[in-house]
Amino acid sequence: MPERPGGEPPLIELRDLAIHFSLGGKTLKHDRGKVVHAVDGVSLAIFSGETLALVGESGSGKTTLGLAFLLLYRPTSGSVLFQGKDLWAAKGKELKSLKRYCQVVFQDPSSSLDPRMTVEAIVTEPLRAIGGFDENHYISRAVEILRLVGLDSPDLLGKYPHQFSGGQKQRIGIARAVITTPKFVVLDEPTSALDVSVQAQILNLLKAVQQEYNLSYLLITHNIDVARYMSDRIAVMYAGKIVELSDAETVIERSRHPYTLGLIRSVPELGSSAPLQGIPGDVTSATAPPPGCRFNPRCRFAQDVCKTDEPSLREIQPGHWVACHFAESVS
Amino acid sequence: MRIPRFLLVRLASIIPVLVGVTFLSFIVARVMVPNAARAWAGLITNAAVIHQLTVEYHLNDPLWQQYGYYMYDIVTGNWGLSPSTKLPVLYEIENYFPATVELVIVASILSILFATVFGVYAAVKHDTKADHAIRLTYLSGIATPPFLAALVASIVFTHLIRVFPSGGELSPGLVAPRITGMVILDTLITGKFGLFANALYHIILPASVLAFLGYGIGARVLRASMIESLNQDYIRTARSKGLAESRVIWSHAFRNSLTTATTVLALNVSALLGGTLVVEYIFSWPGIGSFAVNSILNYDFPSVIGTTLVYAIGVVLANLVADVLYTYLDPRVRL
Amino acid sequence: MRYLTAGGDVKALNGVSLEIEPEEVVGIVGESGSGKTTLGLSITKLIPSPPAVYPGGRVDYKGIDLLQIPKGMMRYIRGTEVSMIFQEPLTSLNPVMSIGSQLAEAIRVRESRVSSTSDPETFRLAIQSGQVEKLNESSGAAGQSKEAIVEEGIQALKLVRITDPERVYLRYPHELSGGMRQRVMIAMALSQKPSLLIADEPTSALDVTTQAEILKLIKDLIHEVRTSVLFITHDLATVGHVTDRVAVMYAGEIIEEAPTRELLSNPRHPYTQGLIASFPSGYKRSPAIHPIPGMVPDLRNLPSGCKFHPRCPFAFEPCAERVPAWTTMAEKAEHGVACHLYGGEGKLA
Repeated sequence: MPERPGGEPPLIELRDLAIHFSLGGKTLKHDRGKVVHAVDGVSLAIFSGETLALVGESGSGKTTLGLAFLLLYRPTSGSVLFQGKDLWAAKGKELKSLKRYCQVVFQDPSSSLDPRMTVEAIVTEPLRAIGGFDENHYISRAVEILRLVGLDSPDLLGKYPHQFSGGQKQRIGIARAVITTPKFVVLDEPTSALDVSVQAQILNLLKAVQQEYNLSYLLITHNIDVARYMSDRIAVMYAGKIVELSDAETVIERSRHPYTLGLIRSVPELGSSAPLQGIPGDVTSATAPPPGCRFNPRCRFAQDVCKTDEPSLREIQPGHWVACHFAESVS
Repeated sequence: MRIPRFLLVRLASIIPVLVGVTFLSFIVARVMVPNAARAWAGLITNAAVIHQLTVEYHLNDPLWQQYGYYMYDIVTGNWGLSPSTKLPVLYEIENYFPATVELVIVASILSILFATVFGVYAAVKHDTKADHAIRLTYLSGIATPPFLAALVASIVFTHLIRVFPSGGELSPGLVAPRITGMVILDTLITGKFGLFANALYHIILPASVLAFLGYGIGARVLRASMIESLNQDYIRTARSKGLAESRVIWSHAFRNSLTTATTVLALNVSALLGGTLVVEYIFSWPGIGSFAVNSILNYDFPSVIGTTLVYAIGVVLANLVADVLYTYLDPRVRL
Repeated sequence: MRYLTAGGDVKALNGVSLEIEPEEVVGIVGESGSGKTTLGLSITKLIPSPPAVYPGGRVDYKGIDLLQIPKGMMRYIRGTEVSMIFQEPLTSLNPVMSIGSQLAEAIRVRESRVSSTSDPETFRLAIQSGQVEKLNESSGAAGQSKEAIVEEGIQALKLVRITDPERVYLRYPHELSGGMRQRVMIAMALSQKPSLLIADEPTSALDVTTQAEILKLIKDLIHEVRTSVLFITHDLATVGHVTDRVAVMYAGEIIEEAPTRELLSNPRHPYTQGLIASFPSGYKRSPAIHPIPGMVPDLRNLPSGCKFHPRCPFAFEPCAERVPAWTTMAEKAEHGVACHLYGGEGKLA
């Protein structure tokens, strides 16, 4: 999979990752024996300092894939490599030291912050997990980080999450994520639970923090506009696979996968009253994906080969990867 | 077919429960009465009788052997002879069983009715004075020891205010035809309405006491479940469709609370079964409860073990029914 | 039809005035804490009344003040006159009832009643005299056989473009996708033939592609069914595709209102401008988006004067002291705004 032009190796990457969940309890659920193919054979690399957006709708597997970078899901096959080292093979101390470099900001600040912990406890927790510092250091780092994210009131540290607004809670979440000076942060729909005006503030904050620490971001989102605003490259997911990958502008302005096209055209544009075009049909069943290309039942351009052969991700132009038999003719 | 398979699994799970129960009863019975043969022989007896009993009931054999004999007997339907009455235990149980069933059924119906009415009403009017008053009754039901409740009810309603008869299934001298053994049912089937009325009159007090003891659990859970249901979005949708409030409460909220309520109601029945011992005894109700009490007082282990088994089966069946109902009531579980 | 509403204890709504004409689609845009959902729910008093209080104003529906009618009568307004669809179709549908039975319920309600469209005379008389019984049309309910109701339900599902409606009729909510559930909700609401449909964030919980399909559906249906719609959302972008007019709400008040295209191309109120500037949309990679600083005010502790003034880049002396009056633009009378910048004649002061 890709290397940056210049030959720089990726900071963190997935190789042929597959994550399957088997359904069905031990006794009587009728789903027994079925397997959910949440992620199927995905390879993805993220380079230092860049923001890669993982865009998809519900059921696409984007959250599972994104959290797989953090070892939050055990892969059914494939590997997760950080600076070339296989994370699932690493043990104990080595793993611990690697983990400090990978952090996460979750979607809903109301449920991702423990309501029974003070702000100080929440924000210093990752640092304490690494250990080796004295108490004053933790506190001073916490104050410093909180100031960086725009929270600066006197008794801030002793307060509890419920005393803050949604936007402020998310700032706390961000503070928690960067206190260990990580290199890579997964942003799982960081602004979906927030109002538009607050969303804007948080996005700008994330950009500023990225600059300050030279971070790489994996931005998981269903919102194309946010992806466009924040990221260098965009990967579009559908039914557990990446269907298109390129730099942001190309994916949006010159999409070559029918799904991406449909997606872009479904987004309501501010100031236009042009008719929206959705994609008819329902999202592919995760347990029984159709044979051939998973998008074929809903695809306008589908031909016979689409129903039998699953297209692989191929580079139709330098840096632009599409998984479609007819990518060249789609527009 | 989904249900039969699931039923089989549940039925199979009864076995370990019963084995456990019989084992425990066996141990308890032996521990509590160290000198069984002497107790059974009666006050006026001699060494020969005691010796004979000892041999007959294998009382001197090692414990594990005794357990072996005992389990074998149970499984083959030989539940032994009651040393006190000299009748087969199973026969006695069959005799007394219907009266208890009848009592438990009536009490369950009353209990369910009260739990439903008071649970739903308290939920609809939650946080008002009416709600608080109702909740007090739940607690008093659960907290009152059965013997106290039975005694007080007996004294108040049969002595002080002579509303109900003090005991028995029918007034003395009256005999009901015996088809199922359940007086209420028998008199109804044979059309003897005078006797039917009399039987009802007799069953109401003991059934109510039993119901009162247990209804609090179900009512409280139902109330909590209803409050939660009433807060759901679909209730708002139902109201926005212009439905009458009663329909919103019953067809929408209550329907959703039924699943939690049934599990509790089944547990309720288990609690009721426990209460039958005392209630039957105090109201001279000729059921297994009285039989059990008498057997205990007479150190009659075979009977005690027999009745314990019957209760255990009853509780397990009640839970089984709850599980099946649960699947039927909630389409999400079924599918 | 006209709607004027006001009041609320935690001041959720502070003097809101809005008019909706027959067959018009009006949008309400606001963020959380703006009062938009409260507005939608207040019209049919779906907010339980011990916490909710309406200290003033009227909700005028075809000559009747909905704030004053007794509870028993409000039941007759809900469904057949004013019906609603909500944001979360999964939780808004009863999970233990089949789609068909929920639909049938709605249809039976309509059949058993007199509505302002089925029999305007009787309707008006009944409401005026307070005689609720007159609104019951028992002949209607008895007249409809079970098969007829089922058939109507299936037709309603066809109307919202559900393929295979007979099968869906028998299904339960959790067996359908989010988009299908929302279509069912729309079918249910429209089957009661209301004069006004209130849609409270109907697409916010859906995927973008599904949202596009549902918005398309709503737009088409509005032409077919001829109901007025009050479309409540936080998404300025969707509003542009569905509504004729838009009102922007902030802290319980409407601060700007105009025909949709006009509002989006010529926003006057600083909040509206800020809101538009906060949208990372338009696919133009702007160097930065400009969020509005600060936060939405706490509804228990509202600022004095213009409630937006603490966050407003253009605030000047009157803003902290006086609540701005509503002014209409000189060039375009349908465009109104509540802001001191626009003085009395609708010109920049």
